[in-house]
Amino acid sequence: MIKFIGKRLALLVPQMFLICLVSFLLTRLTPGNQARAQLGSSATEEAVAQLERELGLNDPWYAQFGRYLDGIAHGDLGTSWTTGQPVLDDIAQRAPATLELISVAFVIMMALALTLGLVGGLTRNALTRVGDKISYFYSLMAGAVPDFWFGMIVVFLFYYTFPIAVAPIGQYDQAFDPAVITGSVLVDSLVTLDLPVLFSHLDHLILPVLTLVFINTAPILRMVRSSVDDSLKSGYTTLAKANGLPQRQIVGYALRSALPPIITLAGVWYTVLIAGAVLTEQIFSWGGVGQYAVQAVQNADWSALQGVVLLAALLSLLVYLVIDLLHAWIDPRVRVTGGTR
Amino acid sequence: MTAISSISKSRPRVKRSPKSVLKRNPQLAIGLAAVGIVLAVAVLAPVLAPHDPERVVGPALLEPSAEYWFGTDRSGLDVFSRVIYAPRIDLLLAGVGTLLAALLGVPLGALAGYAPGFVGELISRVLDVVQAFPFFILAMCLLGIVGGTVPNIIAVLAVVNAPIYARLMFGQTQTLRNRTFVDAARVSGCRPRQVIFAHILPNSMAPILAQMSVTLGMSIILVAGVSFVGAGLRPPTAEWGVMIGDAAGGMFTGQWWPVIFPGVVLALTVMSFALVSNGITAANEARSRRG
Repeated sequence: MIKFIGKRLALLVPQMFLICLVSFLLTRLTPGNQARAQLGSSATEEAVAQLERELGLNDPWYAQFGRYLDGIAHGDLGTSWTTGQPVLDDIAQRAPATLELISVAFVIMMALALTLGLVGGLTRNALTRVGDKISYFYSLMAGAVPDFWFGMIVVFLFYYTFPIAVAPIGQYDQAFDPAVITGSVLVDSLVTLDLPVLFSHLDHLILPVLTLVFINTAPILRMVRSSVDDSLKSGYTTLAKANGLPQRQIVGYALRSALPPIITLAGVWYTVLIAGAVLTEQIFSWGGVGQYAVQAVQNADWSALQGVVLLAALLSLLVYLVIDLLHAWIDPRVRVTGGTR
Repeated sequence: MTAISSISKSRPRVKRSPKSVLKRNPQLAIGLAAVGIVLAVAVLAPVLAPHDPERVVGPALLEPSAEYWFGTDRSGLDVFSRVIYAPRIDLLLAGVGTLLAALLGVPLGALAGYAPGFVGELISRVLDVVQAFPFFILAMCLLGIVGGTVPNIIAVLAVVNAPIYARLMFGQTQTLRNRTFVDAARVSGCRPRQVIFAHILPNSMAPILAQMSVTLGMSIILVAGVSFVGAGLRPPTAEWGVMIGDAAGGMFTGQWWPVIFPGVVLALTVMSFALVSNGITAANEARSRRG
């Protein structure tokens, strides 16, 4: 196990290096002149040349890449020209809100998918057959509907038509001024027992979470369902049945072998949510990293955008690492042969 | 001449009436029919659309009526005509982008899967890294930087989707390379290139086609998403995402029609491609069960 962890961690270094390289290359795609874009079209030629020298844009690319890596190592991702703050500070300020949103959605998604998938997979009666039909159509629909469009429908239904939700703007009523500890309003208001803020926050949280859950539960539900089916149909289940093992024990064995694919997909889906939250945040003005990224695109704020892309990719890489380690822990074959991915 | 034609006539042929196809593989039949309708609408848009999709035809934000079936948007454009014209650009972007992604990814995956040791390992590790970049954020970022023109959008779709095909083909090659017919081809003197193109690729077509149908749908959603945030196509282009983005504010104040209609048609289009994909997979499974 230790050898496997060591090998897997060693892989992380070149992977992180490549991610830095790709995110560095992104800004080199910028058409025209980076300095000119920053100063605006009214700037003089001398001013542009001056800024080019200051930014080191005339150096060879490997020198620029070296400086970029050096910056990352020191926590310097450049300065956003829209907020005027270091990009890392901007992101650190907004990340808790985003992570809270996707984590809450993720927990609800997994709970729903596991409950419905297991019940559907383990019981056979008229009700679950109808349920299968419904879940087929639901999956087909959830996979075809754009998340931002669904978010808007949710707003239209629950804010405009049936005004049961609060205005879908921000994370809590702006009249409040809650204490900031972690940056996640949910955690902070729970820790400080600030109930008015907590309720206001839950009011604001419910619609974006509903959007993410509706769109993203379907593929996990189908996966849970099919891997439970697979392991119930497998040879060892038949053997267990033939040997007269009690049903409870058979289900236990089946679940254990259905677990690894479910964990992989769950992890992959957490990284999908990182991207999926972008548009949902935009619709609900959530004020997290996703909305920051959209603003960066709209304002041609490349340092900010580069920072978001880099950190999002690094986060995904860490999630993949966790998946692999969990796999090795659950499935002894992985430890020996060195990974399934 | 008569002899030849009589031979070809006397050959036993499996009769496949549309009804039996519908029964055997309803997903494929319904999906293909729906995709056919979308294609027909795209081709016939100038005939079907009552108005010019990019010209102001009346007052802004009229509710749906006999004159304007889907109402008008906040600039006074006819929503129905725009919805009809949109598949032209959406299918073009998604179709060409998907095709390029497959052309880029499949050979790469085959190479990675067939090449021994180091090269294969290297390619698959690089793919890991590219796939670590969240799909939508990467696409949005690339388009923000290079600008949301039609060729750029196609290029970005190809780049962000190519790893999916490389990975798929990698898996296929790994599975098939140890099968007897591949061994047979190898011992009878086929070069690696021949083995890949004549034996492994044809046997991987079904999953590739199924994936392409999924990518087509996902690309439509992606194009709509980037256009929605302003990194893709721009108004007044008749594209579903542009329309939804342009009318988004109306959902807070009750003007639902310029948002709902393009979204419903978009979702139905993506759904048809998903059905085709499910249908291909089902047909392939049925074929391999028959042996």
